[in-house]
Amino acid sequence: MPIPALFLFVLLATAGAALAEGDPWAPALRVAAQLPASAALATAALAAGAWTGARLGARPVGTSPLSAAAGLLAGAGPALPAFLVAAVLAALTGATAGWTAWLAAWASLALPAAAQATRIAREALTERLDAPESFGAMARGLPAEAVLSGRTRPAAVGAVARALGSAGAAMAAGTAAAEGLFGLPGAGGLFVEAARAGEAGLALTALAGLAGLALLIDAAAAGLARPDGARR
Amino acid sequence: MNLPPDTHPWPAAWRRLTARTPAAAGLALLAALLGALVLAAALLGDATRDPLPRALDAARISLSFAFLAGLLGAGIGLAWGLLAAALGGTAGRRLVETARGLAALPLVLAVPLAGGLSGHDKAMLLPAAALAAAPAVALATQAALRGLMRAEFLTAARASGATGREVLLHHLLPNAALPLLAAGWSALPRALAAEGFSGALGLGLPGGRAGLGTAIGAAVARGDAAGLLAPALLLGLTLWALGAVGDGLRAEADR
Amino acid sequence: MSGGGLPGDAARAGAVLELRGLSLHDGERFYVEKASLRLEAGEVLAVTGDPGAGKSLLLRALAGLTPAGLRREGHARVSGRAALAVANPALAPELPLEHQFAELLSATAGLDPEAARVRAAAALDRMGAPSPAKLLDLPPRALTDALRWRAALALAMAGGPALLLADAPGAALDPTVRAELLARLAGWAREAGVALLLAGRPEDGVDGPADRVLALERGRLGPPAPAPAVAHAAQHPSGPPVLSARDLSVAFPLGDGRVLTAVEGVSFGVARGETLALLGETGSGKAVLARALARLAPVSGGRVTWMAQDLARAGDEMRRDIQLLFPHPAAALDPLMTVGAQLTQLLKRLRPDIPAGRRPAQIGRALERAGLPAATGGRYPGALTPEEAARAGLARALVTEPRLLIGDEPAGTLSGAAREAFLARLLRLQEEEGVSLVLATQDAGTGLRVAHRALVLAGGRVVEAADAAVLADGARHPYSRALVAAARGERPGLLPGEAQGRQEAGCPVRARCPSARGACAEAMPPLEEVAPGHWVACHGPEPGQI
Repeated sequence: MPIPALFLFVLLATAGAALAEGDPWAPALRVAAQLPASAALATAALAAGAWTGARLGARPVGTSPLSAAAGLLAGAGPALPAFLVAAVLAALTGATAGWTAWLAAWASLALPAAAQATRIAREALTERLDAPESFGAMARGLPAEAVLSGRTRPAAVGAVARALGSAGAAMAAGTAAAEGLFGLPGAGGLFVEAARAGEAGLALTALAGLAGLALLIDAAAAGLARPDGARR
Repeated sequence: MNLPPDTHPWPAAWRRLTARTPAAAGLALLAALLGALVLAAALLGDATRDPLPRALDAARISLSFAFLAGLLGAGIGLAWGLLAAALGGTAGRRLVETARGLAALPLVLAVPLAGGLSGHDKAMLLPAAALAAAPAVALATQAALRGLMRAEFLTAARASGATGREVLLHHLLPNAALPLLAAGWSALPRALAAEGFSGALGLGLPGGRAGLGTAIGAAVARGDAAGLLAPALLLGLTLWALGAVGDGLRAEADR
Repeated sequence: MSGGGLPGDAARAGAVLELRGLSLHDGERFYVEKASLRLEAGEVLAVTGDPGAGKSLLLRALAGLTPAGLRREGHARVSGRAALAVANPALAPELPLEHQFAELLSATAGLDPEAARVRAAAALDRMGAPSPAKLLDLPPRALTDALRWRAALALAMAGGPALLLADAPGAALDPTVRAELLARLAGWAREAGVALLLAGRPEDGVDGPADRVLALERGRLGPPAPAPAVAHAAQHPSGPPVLSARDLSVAFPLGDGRVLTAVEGVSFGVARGETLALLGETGSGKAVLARALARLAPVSGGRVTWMAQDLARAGDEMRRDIQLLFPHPAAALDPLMTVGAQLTQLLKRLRPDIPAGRRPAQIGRALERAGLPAATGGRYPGALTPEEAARAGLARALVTEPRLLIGDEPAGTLSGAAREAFLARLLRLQEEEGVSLVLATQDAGTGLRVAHRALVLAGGRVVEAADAAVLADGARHPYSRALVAAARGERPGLLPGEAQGRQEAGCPVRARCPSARGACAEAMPPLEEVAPGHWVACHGPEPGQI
């Protein structure tokens, strides 16, 4: 399903939900007002996670402590969904507002993103190191260091950049969990509040907003990754 | 690994799977967890006040939920992918594009939504979790079948006079079993994560004796970091184990 | 070479490469044992050997890239820089070629990007790449296999090595394209005074342009063994055709109303015990034609008859008579069933007249005729070597006692002695049992040696048809002559370019034909009989051109 058709679907769902509510625009306006906060939280966390993961994962696999940390992070990724990290941090800090809450929410989204990015970068690096083209370049006379810095590392970073194009859904869901658990303003927090209160119209509108956020993140990341992806 | 040349490919695949460290660790963890659940149920009967037996009880409920929802989601996803592969052409492509579009949405949010709006009704949570997992299964199914349907041994079977039905039943489906298992398996961690996700937000399975997610949500609401430890650890480990086994299955299917 | 911006010092004197008793081993096994050789500047040496003979390891060791775990003993001296072109183009798929040239030339020759681009364009031109300047902006992913090889070899030579080691260069390309590529590489090495070592399997054509040939056999480097006894076609049988095709066309619907015509207007006959070779490059339609005869491709026009019966209307009983040998025998076997189970299934379907109790004996006989022990029946395809898989494929084809075998590169996965043994077995079966054979192959040498008659296909059409012996020595069509020359290791007379698919109008070879003229673009020349039984479809060179 192409992105424009999905957007249309999301908009229609929003409008439908709003109409069902009686006051057609109130939920939509509330969600729209809260969406930038969610978008800022999600993109800040995704950017930090992807950057850290690409840096960690694109290091040669070895015995250094940093390499071991990267291996641990990449391996532990599946055990660390954002909602679980957010729950643990929420219970530990008890934060429900203020900077601590924002920071904890950001960290609980950034950590899984970093783990995922590390894993992707590591896999791409290993795959590229084993690929015939890397050996072939060395065999033609390119120094090993040039192959690593000019070929394999950019390939690992490129793989992370490409993977960002499908990170939107996980980030939007994680944002809802983090905002809900830390009581932060945002479309996600609104969604959780509305679902808890059984307000179908507001909850559906917020869900549509979060779906739109997921698609926006995907589209923006794909746009960012393209020049690099096309080169590598 | 040296196996006798008359080893059936499936036992051989099992040996290779268990030779992969993460997959073997994942299988061992799952086996240990299931053993502990059975023991806890037999020895402790009703839930006690101790955190670990309570967490094990919650894990049993979570796993049952994940198993049922995962099975349903895998079934829907497999049927969806099989249909797309069987139809091919424009109709098949539309089915695949729909799955791809849906997989890009935060479908897991439908589970807490269903929980909140239905008043924590299992009958609503379960299909919501299943539907959230289905599109990804459909995509993996269709991708696996698309490759397999071009396999030369199917052409060879047709050349030997096999009917379409015989090719499907004797050659295509047996060879698709492992890729389809790998595709369907991914619904399990997704369904488990969906239960944890909605439970942590207080929108999951009903309170009292409930799943890990609900236990986590309750601990967070109480600000009880110690009470969170056991269910969070169990959920994280189970998710990791399911993922590791899934990765191993996928690697075997891609061989 | 002079000019063109390529380095090379023709005055380089003495041996560039000298080996005395070089061994490679891991403590248990010797991969290369006491190899000695001397290679001068401007000399071209071919080293042939079967897969696993140690060619790639030897080349890696000479390039200073001995794999970890292997020990080197003996004396090896390379004066100057050695570059190794590995056994596939090995280019980064997404990086534009210009970037890859600049990267290497900056590291090896300290050239700035501008100078690198000039040298890159010269090297690409030398390797016969069309419009090198445009090519440099493209990533290898956008190129055809042949162009990727041209670029990879140009990259290796642009680095200015004193010794160039090329491992199976262009092995997977069409023999015509590969022979032209190797001739260019050898010509450059001689001019530039670079020592060139070409390694490959015996059928990879590396010996063609070489000054000297050495063979590497189980780690031992020495003069090539005298050519093994190769299989030749038995005496040409005569008789009425059992299989005949009239004006056969094969077209695949593309789903949107259009069709892709792969074979057009092909006619031939095959007598009992006769072998017909279908020769041509990739995309010439030979494999599709072979599959159409086995009823695996849709016949869109014309008629094929088997024993005077229309193939299109025949039932399944005809499948027991006509069996296909697949190009990838291992992939054509169901991985989840034992070889024996697959043969049993075939017997159940196609030979219901054989009672279940007699099936094991029938299967054992088929395996034995294919040269396999009866125990192979209990094995799964994944456990078979390429040679065993090819023989298992033959056993499957034989088990129904067919009267026509259609082979689509049936020995394509085999090399050297194993390949010869397989072909010899096929011919012996034919002689003993009078089976007819249709063999589609891109290797004109093998095709003309084992067949009685041959069709040469280009773009889905027959451009020449004659007795195999006539074609081997007196092919008339420039394309047929190129196929034969390439098989001999000679430079084919075609212009550089790709193997072509079917074109709407005109001769399918015209873009690469040195004697093409206006008429060739307008209409496909008709097949004309130039001598009894020898048909050629060519407008011929412009009057007075020869």
